[in-house]
Amino acid sequence: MHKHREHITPIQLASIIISTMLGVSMLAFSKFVVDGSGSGSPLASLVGAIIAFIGLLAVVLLGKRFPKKTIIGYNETILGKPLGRFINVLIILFFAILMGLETRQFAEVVAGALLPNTPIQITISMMILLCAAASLQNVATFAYIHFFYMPLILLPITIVLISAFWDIETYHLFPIIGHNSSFKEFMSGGLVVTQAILNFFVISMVIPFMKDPKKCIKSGIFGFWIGSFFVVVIVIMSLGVFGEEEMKQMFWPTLVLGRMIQVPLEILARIDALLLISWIYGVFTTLLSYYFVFVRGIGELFRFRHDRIISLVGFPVTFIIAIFPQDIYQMYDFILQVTFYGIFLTVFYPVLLLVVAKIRNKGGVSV
Amino acid sequence: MRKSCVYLYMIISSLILTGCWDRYELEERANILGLAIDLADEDEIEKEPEVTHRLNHFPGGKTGQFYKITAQVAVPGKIKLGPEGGGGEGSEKTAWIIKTFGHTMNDAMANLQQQLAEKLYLGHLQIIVVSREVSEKGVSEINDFLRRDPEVRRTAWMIIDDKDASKVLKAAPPIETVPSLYLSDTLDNAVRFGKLPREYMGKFWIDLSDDGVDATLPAVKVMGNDRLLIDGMAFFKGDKMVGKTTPGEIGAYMGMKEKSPGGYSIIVSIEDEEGVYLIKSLKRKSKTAVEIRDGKPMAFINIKVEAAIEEKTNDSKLDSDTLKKVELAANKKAEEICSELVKKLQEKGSDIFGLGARVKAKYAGYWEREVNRDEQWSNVFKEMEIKVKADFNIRRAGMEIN
Repeated sequence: MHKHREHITPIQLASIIISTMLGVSMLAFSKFVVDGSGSGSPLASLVGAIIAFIGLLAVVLLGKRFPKKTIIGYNETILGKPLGRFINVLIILFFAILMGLETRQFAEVVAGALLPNTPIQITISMMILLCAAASLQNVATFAYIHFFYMPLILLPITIVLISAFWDIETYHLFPIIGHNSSFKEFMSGGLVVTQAILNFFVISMVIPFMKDPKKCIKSGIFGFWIGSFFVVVIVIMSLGVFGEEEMKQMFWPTLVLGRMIQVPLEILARIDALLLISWIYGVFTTLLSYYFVFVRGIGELFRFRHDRIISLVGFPVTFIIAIFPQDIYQMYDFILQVTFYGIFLTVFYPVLLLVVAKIRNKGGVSV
Repeated sequence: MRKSCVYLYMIISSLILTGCWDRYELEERANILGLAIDLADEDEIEKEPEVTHRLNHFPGGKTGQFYKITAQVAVPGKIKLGPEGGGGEGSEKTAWIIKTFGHTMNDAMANLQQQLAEKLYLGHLQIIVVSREVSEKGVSEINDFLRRDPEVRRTAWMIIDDKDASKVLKAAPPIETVPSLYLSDTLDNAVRFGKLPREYMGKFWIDLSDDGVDATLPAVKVMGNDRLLIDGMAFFKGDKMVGKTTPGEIGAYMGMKEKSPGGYSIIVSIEDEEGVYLIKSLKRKSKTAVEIRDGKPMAFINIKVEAAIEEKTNDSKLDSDTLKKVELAANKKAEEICSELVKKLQEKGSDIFGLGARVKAKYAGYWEREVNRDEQWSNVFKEMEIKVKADFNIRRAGMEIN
């Protein structure tokens, strides 16, 4: 374990969670929530966030139990080498695929709404290159990047959400449990939120680098709920302004929200540019986290110290995954499917791992 | 070696990273500021160039609908700016008005692009005028193009003109060099004065999509070839326009929907007294409640208006007692106007108050059993009882006591 001089503070850990959670999907996920649970979406989002929270709790408790190991490490300790390695490969694969698909989603938004003539290959490779370059740094720098960008992500989205408040029609938000929706539909919307924020999982790779890993519980929960708060508020605001039917018709409700909002007192004529800039920060920090898991994960799994080489190899891999979907509909199908299976890996699996660790009495700190 | 690599890297990245693939300089863009959509005449169909399809080969058997689209184009640096356009001469002087034809919006735009050296750019589109003819046939076709195009802003205005939409774009005031800007300013400021609800295109689309809400758009009329009169509101049923209110009824609508600030005045007279009072609403507050009674929906709209006396035309003394009388008279008058508007809307089955959406939100069970569809709601709406109550509070009377 190369744990030298890299000390992450609790606040940095929280900001890693926040800026990772608010990423590419910020523009689109609310549409899929509403597709599932209609006017019940705000409540469903809360339920979805709580499900993700269970996973987070498991991850931070594991982090406290194994303060010197990342998930790659304690997987092998708890489950034994063969099984642990198999799961590790799954985790790395999941983040590699997610990285590719989310980069593609980013490129699709850019091509569809911002720069129609720029080839998406350029957008994709630029973003991956940026992440690869940034992931060459040590963990402390990684934490600094997140800490630095967090306010730049939160501030513009806050402005948009507050300004949206005046355009809400209350009848869009009722009935609060959804209209004629079965429990299954309700949950399918809620799970989209879980799928959108399951990337909190990256902290399982960061906790051992903290100055005091025991503090990870408090700051992890703190960061998670700030991030979730924004996620839920995005759903409430877009649903309140657009209503169920309108939201089903567009790909990126948050982007359209930014385009429709007029800031009170006419301080700025258009704030969608502001929103998009902050969104690109969000995309960068999120993708950086994925790439970080990918690079660090492989490095630790194969005891291979040369992060630079992994970074370089990772570039074509993620690029090919990103280029794979044929069209935007297929891309969203893939994302929803992959992240759906991701729930098992990032929410249920850590809980299971925690239970097994307790039974087998592995990990020293807690009793 | 290492140092020179760094320098090389910096030079290359400063060259590459500052570029932009989608670069179009301002003067390479044909900024469309306004669009007017009319139905084309029979003989104009032949004028259509064969850009997206061959003549008479438009798929889908949809040969009936044929649009004439008039675009007001400004090419920065290429139109003469400055006070050259004379008063009332129309906008041909200052902006470029181009006519184009097509079966659909994009068809027409493709035809337009074929004729222009610059790239069409819709990011500055301020105003879309739709003729009554087109809107009575349905606006969803037009909307699809506008919604899909990422350049179009949802804060643009879509307005209805009774006769010839292209004439609205040709109207040019003597004081503004870019006519469309003046037209959209007319509407924006009308919102600020409380003369018009904030029903710009984005809101219109939301109302159009919603179940149990029918959409409205401002209706205009060209006055003297150089300005616009806000001539009421066009109301829709589904995506088809079914009628129009008078300008005064906009005030009634805004009162019922709680759109502040107040802007319209109401004229009342008191019994056994000569002369009239003009009362201007300052602030509107309203409460809309829906209820199901005996299996039938009912709506209660309570309007509270803070008002001020702006003018009176009699000799009597104004004091607290007369003010009470004036308030009562104003209540009665307002209720009358509102009920008339409600009646008009009910006849056409156009629920622009969103009562259906409120029923849907509050009585989900009822909605599913009895209504369930937007079209069915308009039938229920026609029959339902809507009670409007107005409550005026006159707070002040300007600088005069009497």
